[in-house]
Amino acid sequence: MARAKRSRKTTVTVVVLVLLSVTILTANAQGDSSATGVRGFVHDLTQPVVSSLEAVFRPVGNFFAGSVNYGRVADENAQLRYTLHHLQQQAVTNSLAEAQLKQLLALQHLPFIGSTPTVMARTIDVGRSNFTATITLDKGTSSGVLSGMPVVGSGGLIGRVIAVTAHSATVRLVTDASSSVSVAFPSMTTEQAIIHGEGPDAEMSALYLPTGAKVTKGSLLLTSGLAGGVYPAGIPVGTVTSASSVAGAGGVDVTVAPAADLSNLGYVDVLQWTAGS
Amino acid sequence: MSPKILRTIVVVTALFLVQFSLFDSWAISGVHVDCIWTLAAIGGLLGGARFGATFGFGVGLAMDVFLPTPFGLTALVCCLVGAVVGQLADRGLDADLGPVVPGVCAIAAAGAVLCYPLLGVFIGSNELLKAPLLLIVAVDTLASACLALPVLQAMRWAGGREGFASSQKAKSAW
Repeated sequence: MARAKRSRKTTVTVVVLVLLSVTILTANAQGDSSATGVRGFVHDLTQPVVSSLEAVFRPVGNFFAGSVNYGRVADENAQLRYTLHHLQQQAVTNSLAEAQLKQLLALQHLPFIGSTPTVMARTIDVGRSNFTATITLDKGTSSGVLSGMPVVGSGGLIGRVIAVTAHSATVRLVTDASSSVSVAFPSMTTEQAIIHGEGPDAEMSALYLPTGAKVTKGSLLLTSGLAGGVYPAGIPVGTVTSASSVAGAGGVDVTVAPAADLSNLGYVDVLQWTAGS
Repeated sequence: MSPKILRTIVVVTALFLVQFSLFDSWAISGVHVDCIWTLAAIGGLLGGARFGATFGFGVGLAMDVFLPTPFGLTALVCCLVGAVVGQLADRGLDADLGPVVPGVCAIAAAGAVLCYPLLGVFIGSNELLKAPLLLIVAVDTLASACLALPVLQAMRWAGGREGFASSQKAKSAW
């Protein structure tokens, strides 16, 4: 008798808690902002403690990470030295090209990213969840960062601010599965495409481009800057790594590697640009 | 507030801090260890289904505050993990048996990682399915097995002499 009563109590408790979780999830999905407020408040409250502990634990983490990834780090170093050498050679050429580009853009009245004010921010957390691709920055509304602002750095578009508190901002990376960016293909004068994130550490994709699209491996894709879009025009998004025709569907599928080095996001720039500005 | 609750808060806070400051920075191909599943499973193992569900819900909701995923999803999954493992404890699964605890925690973590995106789909978060699930399962299963005994000891300390169990059978185990 007592056992049955206890079992009934347990069932009721579990059912009530599951219903409560579903209610919270549903309220949050329908745009209830209380969860965002709580998250922001707690984040601002705990961040100093977590940052201090991170500083203490970082050498331990680096030790383990280094011992596991030693070979990869050595390869990476060699590649970086090679890249640095090339970049030094290109720097002189680029300075001339940059001057020419500025003149051309001024003539064509195109928006140029260099004129947009930016806020430099430090990345204080990378990928807190295994299921999403996000980073957290140390700047928030107190520094002029607002939800929806694009974030650039490490050679291209990094993502977009999705949540912001007084002293921190969460950025959804372009590789996140729920991220999509409108891009322009250099070889296509009028047509654009939407590239979608495919999850953390995976390449992005653009599906069902027109059959006539001349997409070649290595093509650089820039944000299209469509009216009402969430990114200004001209930010490098990625380079095409493969393009294949879809049998029977009459289109081309493209995979895109991010232009920005998303594994190296120590400091980034938040563009103080919002849709419609 | 009773000393038992205070000690439990201390243990949970300490584990959260270790998660954010240490585990989050150890990533294998972008996937890091999650200790929350172990915590929920140990709660169920020590306190039975009712306590496990409540404890799992509580720690899951606290973790949700720090995650960018849908608010309440971790609470739901942890609640189910605590309830299921707790049900096994109510039916006689003994936390004192050597390999049982790491084994149960590993299976619980694997189940939780698989449940997480599936439940996310019901609220429209289809993007969670694009995460590298097999790698996350592998990392979290292994980590959960390794963390099980230290977390068990910490939670036993938090529970004190009387423990978390409400059933007579579970109480006698203490």
